[in-house]
Amino acid sequence: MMTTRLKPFHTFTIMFVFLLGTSLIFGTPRLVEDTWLVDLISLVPSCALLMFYTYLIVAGKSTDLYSLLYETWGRFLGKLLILGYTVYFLYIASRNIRDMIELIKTTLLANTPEELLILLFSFLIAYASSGGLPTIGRIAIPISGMVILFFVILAVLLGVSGSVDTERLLPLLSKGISPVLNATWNSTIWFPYGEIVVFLVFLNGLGEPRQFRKLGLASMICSCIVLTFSSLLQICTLGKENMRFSVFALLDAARQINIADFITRMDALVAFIIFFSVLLKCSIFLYAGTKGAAYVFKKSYTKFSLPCAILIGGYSILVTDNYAEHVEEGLKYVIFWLHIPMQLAIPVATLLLVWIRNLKGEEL
Amino acid sequence: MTTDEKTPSADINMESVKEEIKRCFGSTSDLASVMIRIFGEEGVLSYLTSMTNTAFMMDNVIKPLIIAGNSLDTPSKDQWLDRIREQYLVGLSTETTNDLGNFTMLVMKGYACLYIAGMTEILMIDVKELEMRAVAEPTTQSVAIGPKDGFTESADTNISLIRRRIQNQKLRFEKYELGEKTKTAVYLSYLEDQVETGVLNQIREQLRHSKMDRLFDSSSLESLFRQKELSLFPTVYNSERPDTICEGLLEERIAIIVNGSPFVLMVPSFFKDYFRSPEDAYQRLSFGVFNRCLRYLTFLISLCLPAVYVSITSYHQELIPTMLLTSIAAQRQGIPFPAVLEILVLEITFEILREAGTRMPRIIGQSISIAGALVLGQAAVLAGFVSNISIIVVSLSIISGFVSPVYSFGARICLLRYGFIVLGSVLGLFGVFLGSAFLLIHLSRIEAFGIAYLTSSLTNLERKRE
Repeated sequence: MMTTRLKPFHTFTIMFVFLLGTSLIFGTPRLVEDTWLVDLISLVPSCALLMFYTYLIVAGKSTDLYSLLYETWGRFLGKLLILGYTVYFLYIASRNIRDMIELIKTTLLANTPEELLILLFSFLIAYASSGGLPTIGRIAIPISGMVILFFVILAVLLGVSGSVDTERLLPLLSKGISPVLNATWNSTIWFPYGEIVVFLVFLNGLGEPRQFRKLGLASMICSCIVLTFSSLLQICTLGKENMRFSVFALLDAARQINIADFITRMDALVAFIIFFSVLLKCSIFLYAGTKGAAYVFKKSYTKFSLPCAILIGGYSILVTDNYAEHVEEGLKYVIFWLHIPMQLAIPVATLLLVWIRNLKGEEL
Repeated sequence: MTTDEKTPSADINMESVKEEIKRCFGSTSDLASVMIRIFGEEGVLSYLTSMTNTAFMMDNVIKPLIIAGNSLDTPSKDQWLDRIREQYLVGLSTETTNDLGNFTMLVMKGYACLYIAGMTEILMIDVKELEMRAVAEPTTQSVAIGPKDGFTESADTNISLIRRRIQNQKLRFEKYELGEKTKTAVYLSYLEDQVETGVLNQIREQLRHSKMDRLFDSSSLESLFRQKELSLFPTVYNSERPDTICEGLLEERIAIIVNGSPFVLMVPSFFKDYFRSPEDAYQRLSFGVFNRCLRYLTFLISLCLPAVYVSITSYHQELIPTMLLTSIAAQRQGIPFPAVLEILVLEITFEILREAGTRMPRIIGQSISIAGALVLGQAAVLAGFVSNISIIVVSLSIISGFVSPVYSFGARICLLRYGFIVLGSVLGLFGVFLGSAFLLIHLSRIEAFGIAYLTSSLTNLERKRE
């Protein structure tokens, strides 16, 4: 099968926006005090995770995750696992939509029924993902440009309005290094970095595994820099205590902007950043999900786009009753019951199986 | 006359030729048939006066033929036609035919047919001489600095305008005939070896298989090249400016010249093209770049400004700085309509003015501007129908819509603005986000002849290098 490969720059931007996307706002857990250190430290295990993923694909002599699962686990188990990943991707997408909608409701539209917003948004991601990888690659470039531009604008405005105070970073590591390491292990590796597992699904369209690894590392480092900077900015603006109790820390930081009483409310910029990065993230997850469904049911993936998108939309409302529950679910259950199995356990098991098969093959 | 194969020459005689002409053209008043005696035999010369010029005919064809008739020279019968071509009609392009069914087609295209009794062939002489509008300055794509000549309705002139700019042996023109009823000449132009053959063959195929009935303007061809994805955005560029088209040819694209249309098409075209003016290259680089950025900005303004205004004034007043908010609120006080209605009414009014402005006779143009500016603008505000700020918003967006160097692009984009206004009025800024995201995805999905519409590199070479 001939697949059109994306240009390296497209691959890089897709991963970059994907990693930045929602984590700019919802990313690091604020239970620890030095969030920026968490951001920085999680880079190391995350890079290792990426190396592991590419090694897995190379070792399995496969081109993408689904065919690897199918070939390694056999017909029945393989299909089951592929479906599992499909559901996982769709679930993550619906969580992302929920995040975005909560922010929109807080900043822009308090009274509009969320069902309408979500329905329209679902159509949009169905439209994007049915265009396939080239479309997603093309929209990633302007989106990354806008996200970076607006983020820089926010930072500059915050700086100019004099809300940034580096003293707020202190005291550093008041409770020792262990809470930071704990937070790294418990969340940041799996979200956002571990979600990069989704790219294994269409690795074939992104480039050679070796090139993918290079671009992946580059985008991880870049987004790590931006995320760390963002955390630093939030802490310096809000202070550690405020940040802990803030629902959307970046938004609260942006609300501190005040230049000559004229440029005051930059909520729209934050909403814009989130809207577009969630759009891209959801399109990627939806594309990966529909690819899985297409692999199992042997139909064109475009047929699944709209139904799956509406499923995601509907589920994003049903997933939890309120936002507090949503956050709780995200930090506790999703990580242990979904992220770690899907991002680590199954790939590791697959790799073991591949090794065993290879050994057997050699003996024969 | 039925087209019996292989023995047409046997049927050719004075009677049958005259009959065929009569059968084809009937009693049309622009048919001229002149009887001439040549080499002692009777001859008939027929042509359409509407396709040539009487003085030209007299000087170049009829007079020499009369001289031939009067001369003492009597060549043998099979040398007659050669003698006429070589001695009397030197310099005119001629051909011979013995196909009775077909020679009237040539007469229709501006040939004169000469038949001399006893011959087995008909001599066709190209006497086409048509009145044409002179090369003039383009009206739709003007520049301050740069060449001022524009294409005309004559394909020959247009071809010459291109050839004299690109003196390159690789420049090719390929002729096609389109339109069952009109038989319009269409020329493909490209630089051989450089153009992408896939696209070229695709276009050739589409031209060959077109089932068009009539073709008066090149824009009708656009529907032939419709792309997979339905879109408002044009994938076929049209221009009145030879320098733009030549630039395109050098960028390895294909130009399509339609006889009778001063707009030459260029395919494939991309999003970027609609923001380029040839003038950018004639000016200081910095100024050219600035102008181009300005065009992108106006594109955004034209699309989003009214929608953003509507959404912010109706949903997100808190986003407006307080001073500005009070000023807007003071202006809107006493206006009976909601902001959406106000903007929509104004937009429609401006569209009516625009349409009237283009259609009406030039002479009464002033009255429209007075009615538009005074009555609809100032008086509407004084009467308390609309607020000043919405007039500013709407006129800025309308003016921005016409900044694009290609009129058809700006005019089509106007339609999208209404979609944005509706979205903004229903969903606020979220609606504007939705609209712009949709637009972005849509643009990413369009492909012009298999090449991404949002491409940044214009030539094949650049694409390959990437």
